[in-house]
Amino acid sequence: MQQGGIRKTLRNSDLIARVSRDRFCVVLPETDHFGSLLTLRRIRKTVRGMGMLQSATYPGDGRDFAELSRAGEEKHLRQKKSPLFRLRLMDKTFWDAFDILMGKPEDYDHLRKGEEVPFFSRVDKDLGRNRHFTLSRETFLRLVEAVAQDVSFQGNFRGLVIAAGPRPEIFKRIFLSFESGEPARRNVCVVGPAGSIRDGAKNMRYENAHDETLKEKEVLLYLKEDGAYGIFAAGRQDEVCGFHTADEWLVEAMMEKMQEHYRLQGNF
Amino acid sequence: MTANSASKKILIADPSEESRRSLGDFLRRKGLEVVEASDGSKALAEALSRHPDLLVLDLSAGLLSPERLVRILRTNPNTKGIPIVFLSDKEQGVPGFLPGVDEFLRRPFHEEEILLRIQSVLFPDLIPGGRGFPRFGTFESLPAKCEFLSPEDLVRLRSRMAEMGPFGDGKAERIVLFLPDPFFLEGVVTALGRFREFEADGAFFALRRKEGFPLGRFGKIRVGEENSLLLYAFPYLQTVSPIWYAIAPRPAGIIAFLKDEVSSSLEGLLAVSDYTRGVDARVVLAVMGKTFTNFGLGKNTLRLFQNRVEKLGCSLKVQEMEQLSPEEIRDAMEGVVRQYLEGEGI
Repeated sequence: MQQGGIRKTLRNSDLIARVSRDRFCVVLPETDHFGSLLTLRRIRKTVRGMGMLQSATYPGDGRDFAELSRAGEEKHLRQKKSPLFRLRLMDKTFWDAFDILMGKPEDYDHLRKGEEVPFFSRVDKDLGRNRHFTLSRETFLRLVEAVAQDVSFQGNFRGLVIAAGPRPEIFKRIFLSFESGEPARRNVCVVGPAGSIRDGAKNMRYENAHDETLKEKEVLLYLKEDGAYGIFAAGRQDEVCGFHTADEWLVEAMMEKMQEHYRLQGNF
Repeated sequence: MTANSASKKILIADPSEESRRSLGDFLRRKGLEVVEASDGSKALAEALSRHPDLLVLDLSAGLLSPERLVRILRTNPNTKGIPIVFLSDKEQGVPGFLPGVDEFLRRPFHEEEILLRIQSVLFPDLIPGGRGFPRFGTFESLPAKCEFLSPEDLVRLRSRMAEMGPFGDGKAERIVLFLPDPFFLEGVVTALGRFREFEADGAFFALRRKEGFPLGRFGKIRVGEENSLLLYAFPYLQTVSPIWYAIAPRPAGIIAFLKDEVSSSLEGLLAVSDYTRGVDARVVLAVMGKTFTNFGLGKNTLRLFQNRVEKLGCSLKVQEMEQLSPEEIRDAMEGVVRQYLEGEGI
C-alpha cells in the first residue's frame, strides 16, 4: 500500500526497495541533497503516516551503499531527538509551531534570571543544537551576519534563506553587505509587512506579508547542503528572545510551512 | 617620517624620565608631536584630553596597571581606536597576554626599531606587505613571510583532503577557534599574517570594525592550488551554540584558547565539549601563561572539561603558551592538522 503510494511520487529512473517490514529504501539517481529533500516532501504529502524520512547523498554523506546507509541510520537517531517530532509540530501551521517553539513570555523572565525553565531544558536537548535565548539585539544581528557571510562564501549557493520580520530592511542590508558580486541570488528571500521594504535590490527576492503577525515576530531560516539554521524570535526594544536551532528537520519543515503560508516561491 | 607625520601625536607613558625624554626627543626629531606621561593614570588623563594618534606604553607604568589602562582605553568610545605600542624590560619578560595591544617591543631596542613599529601602526600602507593589521606579539620588526606547513604535512594533507572532504569534493576543511576575547582574533590574524599560505577574508575586516564579538569565518590557509583549511572564530557564548553547528558543521579541528575570564563560564566550556561530539575534531587547548598557577582557570574546571571531551570521543591536549606569537599559533594549528591526518591523539 505505502510502497505503491511512494512509487507514484517517484520518477521512472528511481528505485524503491523494501528493507524490512516497516522500512523502505529509495535510490534517486542523479539527485543532489536538495533534490532528495523535495522528493521527501512529495512522499510525505502523498502518503499519510509515513513516519520519519531521511536522506543521504553521495558523495557528501558516503561513497558506497554501506556508508550511505550508515549515514541514514545516524540521521535517523538524531531525527528522533528533533524538536519537530518531540513537540509534534509536523501537522501544526507555521505560526502555531512558532508559538510552541517560543514557549511562554514568562519563561524568558526565568531565563534572564538564570533559572531553569523545564520546557526549555526539554527542547534544548541534542547537545547544543537547539537553544532558547535572550540576547542583545547587537548579538542577534551578529547571528544574522554569520548566516549572510556563510551564504556569501558559497559561490554557487544552492540552499535557501528566508528572513522575515517587522523591519526587513535590516535583513536586506545585512545580506547585501556580504554580497560578493556573484550572479543574482534568487534564493535569499526577505519577507516583511506590506510596504516595509523600499525598492528591491535585484539580487534578492522580496515578499509582502499581509498579516499582523510579522509586526512583532522575526524568523530566519537557512538551509544548505551540509547544514541548517533557524531563528524564531520576538524583540523587546534592545533585547531579542526566542529559540534557535541547527536541526535540519525542524528548519526544513518550518521552511515548507512558511512557503505555504506566505505562498513563497522557493527553489533550492 | 612622511609628509603627513607632523600631524600625528604620540603619547609616551613611561615612569622613567630618562627613557621617556630620550624617546620623546627622538620622535620629535622625526617630525612627530609628543606628549609625555609618567604613569598610567596620567596617561589615561592625557589620552582622554589630548586624543593622541598612538600610545607608547611602558610595562611598569605606575599605579594603574597596564592591563587595566588598556582595558579602560579600549572600552571608552573616545579612546578605543588609539593604537598601543607596548614596551617591556628584558628581565620583566612578556606578560601572558595583553589584549588590545597593537605592537610589542622588548628593551633594549634600537630607536629606529620603535620608529618602524610606530610607522607600521600609523601608516600601514607604507610598509611593504603591511596590510593594515594591528601588530601584536614578538615580531622581529617586519618578518619575512614563511611557510606554514612543512612540505611533508602539506602533501599528506592534500591527499587526505582529496580522499575525504566534508563537502564531498575535498576542497576545504574547517578549523574552529574559540576565543575568549575579541582582541584575540586580532592577535591570531596578525600572527597568521606572517605565513605565506594564510589569507584573511574580506568579511573579517567587515566584522572587526564593529562592536562585540566576531563570529564566523575570518580566513583560510591554502593547501596547494585547490584546497584550503577554512578558519572560523567563535566566542565562548553557549547561547549561540546552534550557529556553530550550522556554519561550521563537522570541523576537522577545534582550538580552544583559554584565559582566566573563561573560568567564570563553565557552561561555555561544556558547550564546546558537546560540539566535539560526532565530528572529526580533536581539541587542542591552548593555555596562556606558563603554569596553571598564574592561569585563572581552575584545575577542577579543566579536568571536568577534559573528562567531558573524552567521554564524547575526542582527546584533549593542553598547550601552554607564554604569549600569542606566530610560532605558538602555528604549533597549535600544526597539532590540529597532524591529529586530523593521523586521526588519533596527539
